[in-house]
Amino acid sequence: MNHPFNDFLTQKWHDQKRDRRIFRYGLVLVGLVVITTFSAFATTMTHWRSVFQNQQAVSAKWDDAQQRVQGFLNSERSLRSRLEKAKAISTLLDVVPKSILLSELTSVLPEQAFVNTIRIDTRKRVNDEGISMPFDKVHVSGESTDDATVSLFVESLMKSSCFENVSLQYSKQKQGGIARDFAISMEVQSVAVHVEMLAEVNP
Amino acid sequence: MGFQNRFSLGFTKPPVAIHFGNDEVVRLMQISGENDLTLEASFEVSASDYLGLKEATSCFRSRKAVISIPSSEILLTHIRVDCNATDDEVVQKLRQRNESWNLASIRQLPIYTNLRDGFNSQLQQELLCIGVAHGIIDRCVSIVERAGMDVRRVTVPVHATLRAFDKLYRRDGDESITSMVVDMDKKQSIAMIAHGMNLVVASTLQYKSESTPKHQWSSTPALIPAGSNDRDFERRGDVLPRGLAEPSHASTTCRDSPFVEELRGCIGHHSALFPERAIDRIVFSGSGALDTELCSSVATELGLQGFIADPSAWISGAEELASGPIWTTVAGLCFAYAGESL
Repeated sequence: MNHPFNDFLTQKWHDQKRDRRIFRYGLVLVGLVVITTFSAFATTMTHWRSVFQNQQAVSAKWDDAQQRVQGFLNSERSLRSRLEKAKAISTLLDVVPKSILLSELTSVLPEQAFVNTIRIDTRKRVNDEGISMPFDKVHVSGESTDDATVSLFVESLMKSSCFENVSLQYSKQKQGGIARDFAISMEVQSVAVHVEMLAEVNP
Repeated sequence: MGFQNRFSLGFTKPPVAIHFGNDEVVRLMQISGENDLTLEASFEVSASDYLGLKEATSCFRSRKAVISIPSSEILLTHIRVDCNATDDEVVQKLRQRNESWNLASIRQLPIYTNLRDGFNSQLQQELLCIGVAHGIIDRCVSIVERAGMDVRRVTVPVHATLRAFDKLYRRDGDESITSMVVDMDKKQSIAMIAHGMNLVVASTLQYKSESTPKHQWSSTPALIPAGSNDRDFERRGDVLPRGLAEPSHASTTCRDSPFVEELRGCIGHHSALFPERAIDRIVFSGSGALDTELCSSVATELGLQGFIADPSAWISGAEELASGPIWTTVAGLCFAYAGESL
């Protein structure tokens, strides 16, 4: 138990003192919190600034890359377009007009022979370089008076610059008659046809 | 250094004792240790030297301070009131006696009960009341706090001086020793009578000690008297109680002097309250106790064994820096609040 003369300060004085002390500690605590917050804020801001700078640098590179990609896409689109055009032109270039083939066929057809059917198949084959190349195969069937006429027709076709690999498929006596049926197959020599065409266009 | 003290060591160190003396000197002391008390630092600063006080306080490893106000500024009286009297009634009675108590912080210590004024009167008790004007407390606290200290307690020299002798009464039966302690100062002297360490009678005296050169005590070893005041002091043996020095033999007598008469009045007051107890010894403290011949003559005149207080006997390191009776109150402050959580 405290001696009565131990303290002459009033309880109110001690309470006020304690309140001031608590207020002071609180103030220090608030100060510490504020300082810590500002430090954290400053650190975060520094990091944010760094991130912003990096973002700007990346953004510039991104824009550059975007432009490059756009350019690449445009180039690719243009290339595709050109390729399609080229393909279309190539298709057009590869097709041999039937009138020329018919003209060539009929020009070498002997008078004692006539053609019943003409069929043209477009096929593909791989050349020595491994590239698939299209070519037209013509099948002709007809009738003639005799085998000599058929032979003459085959030889004429073989001599033609429009055809190659000419081969006689068959030549047989027509049933119930003296005429002979024959069938000939050949390939269209496209380059020659084109040259011929060009020669005709630009004499 | 100050910052470090304030935030680390200040919480664990005992408080700094600061006593405002009547001689316009502020004495500061700090001791450490539980059983083996060691002097940390002690200073004497003029009360008007604000910078000196601030510099002195900055040397202590604690910001907590306990203050003892000048003995000349206290109000002290014994009153008798009914046993069931409330504190307010006591205060009212004091204020009726003297208007000075109106603005004072008052504490009361029950001394004796079982008193009756008349045959049919109510049972009464005697109280020792001490008051300190609020203005005085505020002035002392303000001075100390301006010097950077944190005041935790304010007490009076009557209490602090007696606490300096608590170590003399640690054994069973020591409370049967009746001591009279006389704190002699230039402005105010106070006589206290204690049973063991319990204060029972206190009275302010008209006697004012004459100015005594300070070096009179400090120039001689403090603890053992051998009949001479100037030299041949030795460390006291087991003959005398520790902390008390025997005054030199009186070369003059002060028979029937006012001072002795006042002390006789105090003894008479004590005898009236406790007729079965006689005063065993008289102890002199304060700056007036440096006049050992006077002390000796007073003790002889009263027929009591006389001693000079020197609490430095319990504080290692204080023999040269803070020894002698003028440090009694400050040392008592240190002892009183050393183990207390403030």
